[in-house]
Amino acid sequence: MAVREQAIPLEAFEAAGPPAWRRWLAGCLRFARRKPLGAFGALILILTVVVAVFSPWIARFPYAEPHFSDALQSPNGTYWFGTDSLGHDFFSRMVIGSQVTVLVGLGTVAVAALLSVLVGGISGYLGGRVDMITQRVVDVWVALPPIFLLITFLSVLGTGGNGFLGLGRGPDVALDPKDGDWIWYTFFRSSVVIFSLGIIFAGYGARIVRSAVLAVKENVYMEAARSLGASNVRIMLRYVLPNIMPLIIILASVNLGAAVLAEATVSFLGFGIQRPFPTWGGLLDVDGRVYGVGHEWLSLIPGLAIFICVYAFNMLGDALRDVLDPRLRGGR
Amino acid sequence: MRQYFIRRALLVVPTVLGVTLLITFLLQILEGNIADLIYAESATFNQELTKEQIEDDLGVNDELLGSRSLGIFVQWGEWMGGVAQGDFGEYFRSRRSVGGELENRIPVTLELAGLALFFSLIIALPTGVISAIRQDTLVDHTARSFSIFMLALPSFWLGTMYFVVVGRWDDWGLPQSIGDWLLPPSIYKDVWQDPEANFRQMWAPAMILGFALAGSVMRLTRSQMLEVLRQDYVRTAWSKGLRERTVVTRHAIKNAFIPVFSLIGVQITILVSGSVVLERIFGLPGLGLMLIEAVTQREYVAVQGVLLVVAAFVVITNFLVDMVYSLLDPRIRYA
Repeated sequence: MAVREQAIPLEAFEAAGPPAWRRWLAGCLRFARRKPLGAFGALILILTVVVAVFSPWIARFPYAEPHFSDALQSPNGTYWFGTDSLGHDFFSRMVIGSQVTVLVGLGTVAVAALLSVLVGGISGYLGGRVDMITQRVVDVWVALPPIFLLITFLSVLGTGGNGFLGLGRGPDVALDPKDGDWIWYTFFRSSVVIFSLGIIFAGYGARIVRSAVLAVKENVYMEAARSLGASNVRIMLRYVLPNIMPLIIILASVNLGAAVLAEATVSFLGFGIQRPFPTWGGLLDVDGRVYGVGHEWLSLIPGLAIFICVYAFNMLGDALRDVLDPRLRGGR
Repeated sequence: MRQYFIRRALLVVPTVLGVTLLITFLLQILEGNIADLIYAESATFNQELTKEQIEDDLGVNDELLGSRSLGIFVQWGEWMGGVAQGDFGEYFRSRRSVGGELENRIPVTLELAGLALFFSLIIALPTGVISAIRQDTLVDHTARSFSIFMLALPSFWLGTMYFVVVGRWDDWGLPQSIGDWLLPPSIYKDVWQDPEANFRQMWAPAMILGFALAGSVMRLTRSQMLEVLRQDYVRTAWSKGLRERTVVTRHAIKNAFIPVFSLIGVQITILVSGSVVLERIFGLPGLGLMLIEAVTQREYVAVQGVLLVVAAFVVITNFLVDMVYSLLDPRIRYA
């Protein structure tokens, strides 16, 4: 403790350089110069989040308000993205649907990161028999193609009485009619979707975290900590976790694009968040696939939105990976 | 080699068994009233079906050591016992055999996946090789950005757009003969019955699925090619004065393709996953469509059957790929 008191105070260093926000901005600009595509991805991500957060004010009509006499109009001044077969304003539906993309995308990545750190960390740290058994479970976990497991999960948890833990009660009941613009309206269904996707993604993440933990365990400071009498929990939280943090950030950012794509896929197949709440995948299925012939905008717009987001998030993930940990480059 | 083979083979069995146990468990965490629900829904299809039959099929009343929660092991044991004898159980409503239905569906998915793999290799291998030997030229840049686009382009969007664009072949003044190829009748034709009609239905979804794979295969081929081209023996080949064609085809390609081959193990998962979406869009009666149908009609015995077949297929394919890979590249065996 005495050492710490004598150390030069942190403020002395900060006072010498430019203020923190200037350095942060400079860091961002350097990232943008080195990885223009990554910066483009970050821009799209920020834009999508902003649109999602302000979507009820950006939407020009209530998303479920039918205008029967204006059904299937091509994009025009009143309806920027045209209308669907019931005369819903397609622009409003796309904008409200961005909430699903953002919340399910980020939520899935967060759940996956948490679970993979928990499973991979414990398996790698404890080793021995625990590791053996956990690894066999993970083998089973990743043996099935994700989409098959997802469809089964989502249908089992979504139907049949209250489903698992009471989470999947058929169509969601509005908490309050005026909350209908927000994704909270579909709270039960969206949490089921987030957790199902998160569990699937965690299977692959757990393996990567485990191997990283195994590498960290070899360091001398781990032995030092243990000889000082640090408990397992303390070592895991104070020594292992900070060392695998960059990996977790990389894992999360690389997964974001895949999570958005997976959400769109299950929504397209009809197992995601249910109507009347709009999702991009659902719009592409119900409007684009069914009415697309002759009404091209219905399939072009949601598909393009999904494509741009997935492409941008992939680019951002790749760029972050290159910057944070060049060893992981290549492959894929 | 034999030891490696046995060790890997021993891992296949617990994995497949684990998958089936997981599926059984998953289907058992449903609330108990699922039998009531299926019974109520089945009234219009099958009057003779009793509630006891459904409960029996689902195994909700099975007990082990006096405990209902341990009953899933009984149910699992009974089901696995049946599967071992080739009996996958029956549909609740129609009392059709699930095994018979699987027999009809598996060839469709296999054909789709096989064709897609074929298309993806035809596209990806040459472009990957050319892009590597012409590194940092216009060809390379075009091929690489194309492959990145392919990775992000959702196959369900491509499938939807296919119908949107092709659905109007009449308006574009195309003759009937081309229209037949673009938009064949949606009633599925077996490949043994009518190969031409079958191929008309299959080529478009297989092509779209192949595109989805081509991106990653191309990227790996390119990076492997680049690595091999920097090896000493390739430089030796150049300095001997061999023609470019000989250096590339005789010396470089063989070693570059080995890791690409191992990627096929991963691709199988993507192929089978992608087939769900394309089977649904194009109305092909494969395993994916069977799962969607079974899951929406709560035919859980059929769901179990599909998942078991898919899991076994993926695990065994990965095993075989690993084995062939270790034959091709001896370094793997001793790692």
